[in-house]
Amino acid sequence: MFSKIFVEKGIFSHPRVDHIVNFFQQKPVMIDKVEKIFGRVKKPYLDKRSDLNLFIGEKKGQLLKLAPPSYGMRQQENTEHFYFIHAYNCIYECEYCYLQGYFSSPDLVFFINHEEILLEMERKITQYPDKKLVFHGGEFSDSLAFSHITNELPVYWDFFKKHPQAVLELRSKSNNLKAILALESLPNVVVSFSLSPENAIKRYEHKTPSLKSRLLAMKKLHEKGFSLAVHFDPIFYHSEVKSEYRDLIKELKISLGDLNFLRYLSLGVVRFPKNIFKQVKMNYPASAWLNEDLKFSQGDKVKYVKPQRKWLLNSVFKELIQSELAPQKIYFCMES
Amino acid sequence: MPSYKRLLLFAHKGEASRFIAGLKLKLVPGTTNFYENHDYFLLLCGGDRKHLLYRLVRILTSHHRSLKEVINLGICGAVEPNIALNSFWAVKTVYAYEGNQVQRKSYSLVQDKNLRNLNLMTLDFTLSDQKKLKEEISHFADLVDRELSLIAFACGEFKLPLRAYKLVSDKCEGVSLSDIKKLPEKYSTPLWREFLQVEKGFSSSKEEKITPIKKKITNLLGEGFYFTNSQKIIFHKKLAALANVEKLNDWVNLITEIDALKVTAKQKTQKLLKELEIEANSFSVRFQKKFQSLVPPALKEKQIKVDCFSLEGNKLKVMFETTSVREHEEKMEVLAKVNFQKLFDLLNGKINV
Repeated sequence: MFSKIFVEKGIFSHPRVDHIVNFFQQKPVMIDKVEKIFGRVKKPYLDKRSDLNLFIGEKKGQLLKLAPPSYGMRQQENTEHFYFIHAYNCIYECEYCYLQGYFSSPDLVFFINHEEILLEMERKITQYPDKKLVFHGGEFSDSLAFSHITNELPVYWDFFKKHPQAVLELRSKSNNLKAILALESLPNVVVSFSLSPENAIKRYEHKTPSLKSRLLAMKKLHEKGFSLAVHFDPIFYHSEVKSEYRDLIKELKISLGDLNFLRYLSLGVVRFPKNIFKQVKMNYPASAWLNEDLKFSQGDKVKYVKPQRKWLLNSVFKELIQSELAPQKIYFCMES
Repeated sequence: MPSYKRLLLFAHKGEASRFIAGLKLKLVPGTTNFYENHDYFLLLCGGDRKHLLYRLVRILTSHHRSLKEVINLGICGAVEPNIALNSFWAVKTVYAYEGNQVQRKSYSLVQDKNLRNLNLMTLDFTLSDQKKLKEEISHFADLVDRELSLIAFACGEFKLPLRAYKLVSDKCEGVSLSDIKKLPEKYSTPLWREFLQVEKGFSSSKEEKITPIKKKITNLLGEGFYFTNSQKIIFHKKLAALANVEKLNDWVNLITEIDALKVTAKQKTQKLLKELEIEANSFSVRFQKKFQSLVPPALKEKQIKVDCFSLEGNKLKVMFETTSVREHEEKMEVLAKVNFQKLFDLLNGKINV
């Protein structure tokens, strides 16, 4: 699967590393530090199709990052929202993915020092005793896609069992439930799925599980009592957008029985930082959604104009309300 | 229509000797290292990096408009232990090791779908018996040479597509520069043999197939379709970006089908753009039309212009000219009765365009 697997010398004997290396049955290359190789050269993003490396190391520096208010959750009363970084990059290839311009390399990095991430979470819980704290994983890599290989979920479960006031959100597009179904459902652990209409998945979300598989995964988790959430993000403008989301919402409702089983649902319209948009255009020049509606706006962002964004959000919001999802469960990402 | 040639680049004359004979290349008058025939140019750049860059840039400056692509062929070293001597590879990405460190910049080359494409690191020194360094380089690339990153840099500056093919001559174990200089001649024949195979597979694989289909599409659109200027720009931009033979053939079939319909040329174009999901008018254009359609007629009658201040803000701009107090009062009266709500609804995305 990987061209090469690089492992930091200092963690080679760690049982989680052992598990990963054994799974891929590939002789690893020992290195001092991930950053001495990863990102040192500008590796073309699309090389991931034919030449993908895996790095296993320890995450240094900031282990938790405060999510910006525009992510939406901090607008909820008395809530602080952080994300943690368990890995870099992703096996999927979504044409709109901001990772293609974020790192200098598409190679995967698995961090194994989860205990240190949890210590940091504990510090935040102590620091904000009166607040609801949300920690989400999956910002720079899918939370579930490799979870049966990376084997970290049990330690997060132990931690969140002890800290019921904090919420863990695992963000994913994966239908890989091997690791999570081996665990019991916890009221303060939410598994959230990014969903797009089937057409968009086929055309722009390469190598990702189909809508049907994602909905089936959600159904299985729901039946086992797991809390679920959904992200309709990014939404693209096109002539059929309303009817496509109407169909998607209908299928989601059929899978869950009632949309109100969802803890929350976020809506976000496609947007990019300028430098990432340049990369996206370079990698997918013929992509139909990269049309002239996407414009540079103030603050170096590329997005649709406000009436267009608002119309998209309003339209999908209305469809959700018509499907009887409680409005307070819906929040907007990157849009006030 | 000018005829475009391919430029073959070699570092050493020894590597190129079989090509010069095989392609019946003649020395371009007034030069000592630049050859040509009807289809190819061939440049001997020399092994010295400064000379190489100088010679290449000089030729590209004078000939880049008549070049279809650049192809670098030559020998290389292998730092990846599993790569066999005398094996032949295409290069997909080239990195550079200069001034004792790996450079951040990389160059992507045109890949050859018929061969395995590897990464290559261009070194500004000769690598021999330096186990640790060799291992470090192997983390980024499988092959090493002395020139490809410079060639890629120059081709990038002239926006010329570049392919590179390398024959593994050594494993970077105790090979000195003088050894390398003696090596090329021995490799000219195998390089030539591989090159003939490559050209057979490659010339019929991409560019050669795409250009005629694109021309066919342009011809098919002839008189049967009517494009506005903005539709034309958007369509051709989309066509230029398309590099997939199957998709292009789908376009040909679709255009033929639509052209056979008994509808007007305008309607054919609209149907075509819809089928290809190309937005003929951007949202902004449709927004402006919708906005103007929602401006109350009373304002238009009194020549009061309403516009949106900016699409990001929630502001309307109302403008009128007045020549007397009476006219001013009349216009203000009209304005006082107007309900602007629909326009604000449009600004806030409550109405679709």
